Amino acid sequence: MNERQYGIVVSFTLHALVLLLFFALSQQMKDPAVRTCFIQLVQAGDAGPQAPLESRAVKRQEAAHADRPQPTDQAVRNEDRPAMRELPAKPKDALTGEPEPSRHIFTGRGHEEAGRMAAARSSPASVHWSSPAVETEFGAKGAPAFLKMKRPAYPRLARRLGREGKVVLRLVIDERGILTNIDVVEPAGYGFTEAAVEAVRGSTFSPAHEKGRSIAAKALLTIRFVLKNI
Amino acid sequence: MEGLSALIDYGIIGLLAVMSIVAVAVAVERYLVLKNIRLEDYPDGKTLEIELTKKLHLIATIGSNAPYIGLLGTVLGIMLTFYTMGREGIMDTGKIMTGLALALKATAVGLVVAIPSVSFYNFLLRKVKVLLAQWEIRHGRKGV
Repeated sequence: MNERQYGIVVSFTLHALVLLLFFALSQQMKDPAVRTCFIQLVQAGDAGPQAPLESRAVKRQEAAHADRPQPTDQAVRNEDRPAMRELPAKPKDALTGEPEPSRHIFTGRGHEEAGRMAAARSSPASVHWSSPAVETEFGAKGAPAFLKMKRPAYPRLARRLGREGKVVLRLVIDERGILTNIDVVEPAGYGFTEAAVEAVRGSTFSPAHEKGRSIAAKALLTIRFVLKNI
Repeated sequence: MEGLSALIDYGIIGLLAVMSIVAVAVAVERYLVLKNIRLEDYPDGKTLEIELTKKLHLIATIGSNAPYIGLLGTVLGIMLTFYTMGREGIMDTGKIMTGLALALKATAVGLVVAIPSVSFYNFLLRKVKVLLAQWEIRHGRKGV
């Protein structure tokens, strides 16, 4: 009889332990991490209410320079590395004081390039020598696009707290489709910004194109983190 | 229909839990008995055999039937899911999936109960055979 009681006690204890373990594990798994997370890529219009104020200001400045007789910076860029070519031109100008040698670099493009140089020198955009002034947003016609998008990882803390967020980035993508710069235009807390930046860094892009040619451009990208229950 | 599914779910899994507890309790008890048995106490070989193989059939029954009971739970669950699906027309895919997953849970529990039971039964059976053979060595083998 003693053995029988012993057997029953051991059996009950073992099963109780197993059940407790199972319940503890299932409680852990019930946290909101299991919910599906939606990540939306939204095309933010540059002048729209979602667009940050800076981009609207840049547009205004660029529009003001359109009054000048030369074509604005948003005009067609026909050569392949506009930023690189402007750089050697400037120091040469300063040293020799002759516009002639610099013109040789832009063969046969004469007035347009001179105009661009002048505009580049005088407009505030000239401060950023290596950044293209073509500004657009993802999804617009001729804008850069994702070749392979790395899905952002939903930040664990935000997921646990049930937080959603929106991050707006300005990506500078050169004419080869290589991401050269990321600007956080509108950050968000809880790790959303870092997740968005990391995802963008891991993605590949196709460059912007205008009139059939690839150009370097800046593009606004909105990444919205949304939790969706199944 | 919800009540029926809960009944199936908890009834089957409850039954399997009871079977599991019984199987483990009996296995532990039998092991202790076999460990402490004294072969000298049994002048008759057949009495010893009866004494040694008590309750082993319980463990064997539980070990072989638990998968079937689990399967029964699964089949009933799937039947119920399809029935409700047919009744309600288009059903939410999430609900279908969770229904089927829960149905499969019954089979899983059945297997979890069966695997240790069958193992215990085999070990105990071996121990019984060894003890009987030892008794026969001690008391001379008839017909050899």
